[in-house]
Amino acid sequence: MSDHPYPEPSSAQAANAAVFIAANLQTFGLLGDNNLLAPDRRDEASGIAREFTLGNHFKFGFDGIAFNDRRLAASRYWVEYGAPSREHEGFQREFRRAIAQIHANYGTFSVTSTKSYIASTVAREARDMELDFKLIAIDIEGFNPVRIEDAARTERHSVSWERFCEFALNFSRAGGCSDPWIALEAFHGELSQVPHIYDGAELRLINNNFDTATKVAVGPLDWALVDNEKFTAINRYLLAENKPGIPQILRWSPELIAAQLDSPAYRDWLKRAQHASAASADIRVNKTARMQLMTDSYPGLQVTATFSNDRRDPRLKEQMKLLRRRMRNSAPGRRMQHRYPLSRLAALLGIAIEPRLLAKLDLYGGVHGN
Amino acid sequence: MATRLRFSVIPFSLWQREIAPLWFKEGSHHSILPILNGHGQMQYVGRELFNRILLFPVCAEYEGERIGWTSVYNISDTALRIRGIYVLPEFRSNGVGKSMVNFALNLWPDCWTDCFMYSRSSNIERYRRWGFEVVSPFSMRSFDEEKIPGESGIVLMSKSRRSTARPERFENAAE
Repeated sequence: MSDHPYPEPSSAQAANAAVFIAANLQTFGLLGDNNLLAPDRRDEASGIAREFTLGNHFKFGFDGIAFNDRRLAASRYWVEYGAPSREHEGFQREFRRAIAQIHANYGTFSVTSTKSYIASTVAREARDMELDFKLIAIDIEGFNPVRIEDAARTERHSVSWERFCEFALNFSRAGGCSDPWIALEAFHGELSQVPHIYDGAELRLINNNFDTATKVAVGPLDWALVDNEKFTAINRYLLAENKPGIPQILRWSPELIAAQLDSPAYRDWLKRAQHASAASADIRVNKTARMQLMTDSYPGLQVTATFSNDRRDPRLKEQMKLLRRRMRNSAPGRRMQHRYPLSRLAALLGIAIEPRLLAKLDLYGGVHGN
Repeated sequence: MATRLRFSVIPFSLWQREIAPLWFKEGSHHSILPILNGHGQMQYVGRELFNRILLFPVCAEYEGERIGWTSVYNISDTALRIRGIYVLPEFRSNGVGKSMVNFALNLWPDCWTDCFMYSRSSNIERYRRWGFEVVSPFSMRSFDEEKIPGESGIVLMSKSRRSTARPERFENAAE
């Protein structure tokens, strides 16, 4: 016989999956004795001290620990969302409530001076509610200055390219992220004297069966909410620096997430995607829905998809490419994703989406209650 | 050959180190992940990844020498994923791979009724002989990482475990 361990036999051939899992988890779970790569991982303490989202309902981490850093190249990134405690009241009301709660918790906050659809709508709501907030603008010397929309509220910083690079390299080590544009966004929070609401970490839905290399569908629609590891790089940086901040405003509460997925913009997009041609970008990712939601909610507000679009400086883009290489060499970021099947997320959030639009694949089976 | 062929479940760290040179990852074996999502196959989310998934790294030995590797894990409460079937070239076409996969699948009770894998284009016919079929309406998709010369891509294949008569669960021998 082999010296190696074997699974505990199930008591019956048709044993309940939960029974078999429970009997074998200690040895064959991803953190089990047979599969564990770093013996001390199970005992690692959680590092959270700040409220990144309401009650920290949104959790992230590695190897089953919440709010920790990646320890190994093969560490498994995971995220988790809380369940809503009530029905959502629509995107704009939930978004407004989120910003009011952040203000109530932290007092004066700041947001990046940009036309990006996330930061500019935060500023719009804060202005409408007459909350005390600042806009942070960073001019990098030698490159195009940032456009200022609201001079009275703007705190303008002028920094050298070298100073930003130094920050970006530190950021890549602390956050495990080699994206210089995320580093630049993080730099706004670094220069702000008050908690910053960061631009980014959009609610990105992806069709699992869209082949990005050939740009065609290779199977039936199958939506998942994607959480890229780099979406929480700023959280890890803030934890390392012991600074407060809100890196995922669009995930602030379960109700806010539910309101986005349940909005007419998302529902219309899901319907369109169902009938889109195989080569259409609409069936790959929900960028049009994200933008439409904001233009529906804030008519007349001119927004861009990302804050990097605002910079309009090809020389800066070129320098950022070179910086990305330096950041990668300094601390290679990982590109691990957590994909949350939309059918499971809708169930968690209590959203009734037509099954044909969810495009749930029964193929891979279900997950029963614990 | 069958009588001298043995299968075992081995520690993942060992599996990782042994398969690395065969996957051209010598020196970076630590980057080989225990599981893959497989384009949305994984139905567990959040901490379920750590309290619901079981992973069995499997190897085949012939006269005490390691000649094959695969692994199997559950992607839901009813479906499994076979990943990374590899048999040393000099031992191929002897039924080692098929027997090893059967061993890996027989580690699981019957409530896991389906098994999935991604197959390179050149292996589709081989896996058909093992009882797998291309899942309709899926078609060939690009490699996740680097292209492999002579291969057009990968395709989703599955095998039902419902109707297959299987040997005793822990029989440690080839078919």
